[in-house]
Amino acid sequence: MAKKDKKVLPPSGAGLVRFYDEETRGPKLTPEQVVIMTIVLAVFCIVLRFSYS
Amino acid sequence: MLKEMLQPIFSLIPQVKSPTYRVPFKEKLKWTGIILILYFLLGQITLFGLSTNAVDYFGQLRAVMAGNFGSIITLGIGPIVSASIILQLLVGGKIWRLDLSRPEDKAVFQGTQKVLAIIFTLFEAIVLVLTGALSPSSPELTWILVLQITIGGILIIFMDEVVSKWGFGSGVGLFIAAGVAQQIIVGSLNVLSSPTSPGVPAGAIPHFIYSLTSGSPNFDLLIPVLAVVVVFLVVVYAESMRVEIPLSYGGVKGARGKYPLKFIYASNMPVILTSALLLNVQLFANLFQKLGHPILGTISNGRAINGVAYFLSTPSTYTVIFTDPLKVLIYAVVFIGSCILFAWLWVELSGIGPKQVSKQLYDMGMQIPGFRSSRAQFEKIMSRYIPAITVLGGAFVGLLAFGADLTGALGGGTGVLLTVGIVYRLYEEIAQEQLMDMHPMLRKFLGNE
Repeated sequence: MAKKDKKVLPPSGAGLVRFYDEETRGPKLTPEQVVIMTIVLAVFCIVLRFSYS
Repeated sequence: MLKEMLQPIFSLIPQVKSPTYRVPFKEKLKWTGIILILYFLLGQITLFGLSTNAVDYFGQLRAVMAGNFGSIITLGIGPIVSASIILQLLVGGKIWRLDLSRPEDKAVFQGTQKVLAIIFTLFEAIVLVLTGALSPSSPELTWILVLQITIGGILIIFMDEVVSKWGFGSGVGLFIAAGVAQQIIVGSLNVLSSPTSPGVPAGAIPHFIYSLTSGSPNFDLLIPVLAVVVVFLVVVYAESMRVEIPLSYGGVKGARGKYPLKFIYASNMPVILTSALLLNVQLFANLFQKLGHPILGTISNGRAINGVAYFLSTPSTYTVIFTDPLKVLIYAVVFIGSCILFAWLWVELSGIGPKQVSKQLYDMGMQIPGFRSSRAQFEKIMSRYIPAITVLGGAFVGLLAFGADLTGALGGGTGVLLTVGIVYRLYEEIAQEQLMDMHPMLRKFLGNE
C-alpha cells in the first residue's frame, strides 16, 4: 500500500495521542540541538542546588 | 477564526525539523537510543528543594504518565497526553471544526497540541507545588521547584518530537514502555535485598529461589511474573484480531484494498479513562475526609478502608477474593462497565464512529465490492461492526487490566496492557524498516519510497 493512501485512510483504531507530520511555521531545531538543549538544561538543574546556599 | 489567531503563536514555538530523506534503520535506532538514555538520565535528577513528605497522588496513573516521581520529569508525558485527549475530544465532538484530511488543519492540530502541552506543563507544575502535593522544603524555593518541573516537562515534549520524527514509533509510547519495562525487570530480577526484610532478595524470581533454598518454596511469589507473561500473550493475540472490510477504489478498476477494523477498537483508552475516573474517587474521598465529612469512605495510610472509596479501590492481591468477594465483584462490575461506557464514548467523540468513518471512506471514492456505492450503504455495513467491536473490545481490555491488577502483574494492569500494545507495534515497524533497508527493491515494492 502506498504511503500516500495510508495517510488518507481513517485510523483503524483509537490511539493515546495523534501525531501528524505537517509542520507549522516557527524556528526549526535539529535533533542534535534538542540533545544539546536537554544536556545543558539538565546540567543547569544540577548546578542550581550548588549555587543555592 | 481561531486558526488564524493561533498562527503567530505557532511561529514563536520551536519545533524539531522533519527529516527530508528516508531515515535509515541505523540512524532511527541511534536517535531512539540517545533519547532513551537521556530520558533515564533525566529521571535520575531529583528535584532540588523538594520536601521529604511529598505524596505521589498520581501513583495509580504512573504507568500512563511515565516519568519518575520526585525527579525533574515528575510530570512525564502527562501534559502531552492530556493535551491530545482534550484536543481529540474538541475536534471529534465538532466543538472546534478542523478538517483532519487537509494538511493545513493537520498542522494546526499538531501545533495546538504542542501549545496546549506547554500550557499544561506550566499549569500542572504550579498546581502540584502550590497545593502541596510537591511541597518545597522551604517557602523561598517554591518557584525554583516550579521552574525545574517545567524545564523537565518541556524537555520531554521536545524529546517526544525527536523520536516521532527521527526514531521508531512515538516518544510517548517509548517512555511508557521504558518505565513499565524497567518495573518488570526490577520487580522480577532484582537480587538486592528488600528494604522491608534485609537479607531477602526483593525481585520475585530471586525471592522464589531464596525460598527454595530455605526449604519452603513459596509459589505465590511467581504469580506476578506469570501474570505478565499471560497478559503479554493475550494482548499480542488480541492486537492481531481484526475485521477486514474489503474496499475497491471507484476511480481505478481492479484496485482493491482492505480496511482493517481492530478488535480492540477503542484501544486502551477505556482503561486509561476508567483508571483516571477511579483515581478521582480516591482523591475526592481524601478531600471530603480532610473537610471532616468522609461521605465517600475513610482513608487511612493512603488506602481506603470503608465506604464507596473502598469498594472502588484496586484490589492489591488476589487473596481479596477470599476475604472480601463482594468488594472484588463490585469493583469488577464497575471497572468493566465503565470501560465499555468509555470505549463507546471515545469512539463516538474522537471521530472514529461508524458515521465519520463511512463519510471519510466515501469521500475518498472508496466502495465495498458487491454493494451499491452510497454513503448509506457504507454506514449500514460499518454500523454492523463498529458498535459491536467497540463494546466487546472495551469489555475485553477492562477484563484484562482487572485480571492483571488482581494477580499483581508487575508494572500494573494498565501499564502492562499499554506496553504490550506499544512494543508489538514497535516490533512491526522495526521489522518492516529493517526489511526495507536490506532490500532496496522491496522499498519500491512496498511503496515507501
